[in-house]
Amino acid sequence: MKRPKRLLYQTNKGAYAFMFIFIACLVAYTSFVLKSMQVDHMISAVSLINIVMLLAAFLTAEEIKVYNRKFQFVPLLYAAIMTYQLLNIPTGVAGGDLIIAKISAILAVVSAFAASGLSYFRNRIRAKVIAENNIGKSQLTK
Amino acid sequence: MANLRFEHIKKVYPNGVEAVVDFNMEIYDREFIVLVGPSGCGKSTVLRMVAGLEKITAGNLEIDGVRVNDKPPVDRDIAMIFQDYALYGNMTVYENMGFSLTVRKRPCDEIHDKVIAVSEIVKLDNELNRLPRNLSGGQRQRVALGRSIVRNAKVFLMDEPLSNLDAKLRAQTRREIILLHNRIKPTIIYVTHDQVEAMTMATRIVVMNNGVIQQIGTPYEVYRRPANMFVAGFIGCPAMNFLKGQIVEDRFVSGAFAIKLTPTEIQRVSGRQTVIIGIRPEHLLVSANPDVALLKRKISGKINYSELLGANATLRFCLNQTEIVAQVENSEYRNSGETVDLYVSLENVHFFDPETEALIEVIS
Ligand SMILES: Nc1ncnc2c1ncn2[C@@H]1O[C@H](COP(=O)(O)OP(=O)(O)OP(=O)(O)O)[C@@H](O)[C@H]1O
Ligand SMILES: [Mg+2]
Repeated sequence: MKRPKRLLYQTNKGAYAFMFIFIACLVAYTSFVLKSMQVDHMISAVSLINIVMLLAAFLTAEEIKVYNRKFQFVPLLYAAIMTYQLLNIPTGVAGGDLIIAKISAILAVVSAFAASGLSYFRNRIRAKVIAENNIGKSQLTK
Repeated sequence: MANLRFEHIKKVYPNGVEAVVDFNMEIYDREFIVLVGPSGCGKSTVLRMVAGLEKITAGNLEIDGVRVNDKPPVDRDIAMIFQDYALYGNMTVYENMGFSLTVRKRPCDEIHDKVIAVSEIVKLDNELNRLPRNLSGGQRQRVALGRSIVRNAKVFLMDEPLSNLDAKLRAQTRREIILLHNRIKPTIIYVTHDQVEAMTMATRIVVMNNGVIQQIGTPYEVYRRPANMFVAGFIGCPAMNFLKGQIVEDRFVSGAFAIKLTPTEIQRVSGRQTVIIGIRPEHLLVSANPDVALLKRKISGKINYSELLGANATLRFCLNQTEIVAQVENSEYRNSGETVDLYVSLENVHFFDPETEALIEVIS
């Protein structure tokens, strides 16, 4: 990175963007799976898990944007859940819906990894800049 | 950085108010122009026309030789700083300053370099992550300034930017704006009705009244050689004293009051009978043992109101039903009711034509 110091002032736009791609893919996955899956008790599980994950992913995106280190690996958890869902697509989903569900699940996993990775690397650079320049908390808070 | 040229600029608002009558002026690169005048005289209107926020009714406005009358504000390359700063409350200082570059989709590194460089100029490098609401008035003002510098505007327009700061902060911010002008030399047009600001900041002052330019000149010129009674009364605090009277031989006579004129003064008023004399309060002198010339320029009265202002004191008394104000050193302070003897300074007296109200100058 040419200007590591800019991380002190500019938000983590890259990771934030990846989180939003993840959210978009999650919406696509959920809607296409719900559209054609067999109606049984699994349907409530799928909808509940994914709705909760949507909300959580959004909150995580906001934290990642402002370089909250506690959240840098949280997207990996979402990636794991999506991987599980990818490998266990409910019965009844078939044809075009299945393809779209699979593609969006794969994209979601990839973007969750990207968000986490970017977040990790930038946080590391940022922490180094803060330590090297002896930057106090008062300069970083709004 | 730019030259501006106003040619017969006129502004009539849709409701018929003629706010600017015939504004002619050339502003050169790197000048600090201050527009002053009483409330409602059209200062803001001039500024808003330059910014493109108000349509010009007639005349030509040129920036760097290009007519801009019909150019929309965004294409004029002008930064306007409002009285209330108009910062984005949800953005940090850094984001506020870099906003113009962000909307133009400049690379992050470029934005960073510019904002950091400017934040050092306006001394906000430790507050970059703060929100405007957590800054002091002066700091907010500097954010607004910084934002315009980042934009690299040709002309800076400021409409009473210091009017909602307290006295101390105003003095400090004023100094900062002057230093900033010295450092990066932008062309600035600044509106104020604070005389101190006008006198200290301007390279040239434009005094306006009722939409008409009364005088354009350096602060020194405007103070020393006011073009007419309006300027004379407007610039200077307390305001200049005016007395109408006759020239009788080598004396100026106004009722019971008479002073002997100096040779240069006689030359100036020669051939006239009635004139208005203008004497600034600070040119009414107190003297323990005045010389012969001063003795013949005595003015005395019973003080009916006096104020001690710190270093100075003002004394007010009546002369031929006109209130005369004198500004003297604090040691000369008198209470109301006392009589005071003052002498009209041998230089620094102005004469005005009673009809045109224009300054009577030596014709040479
Ligand atoms: N939008 C408008 N429509 C109609 N008349 C206006 C408008 N804006 C200003 N005026 C009038 O134009 C005249 C000049 O107004 P302007 O705002 O330029 O004064 P100003 O010199 O900036 O005064 P102040 O020192 O009080 O800010 C005033 O008589 C005002 O009432
Ligand atoms: Mg105004």
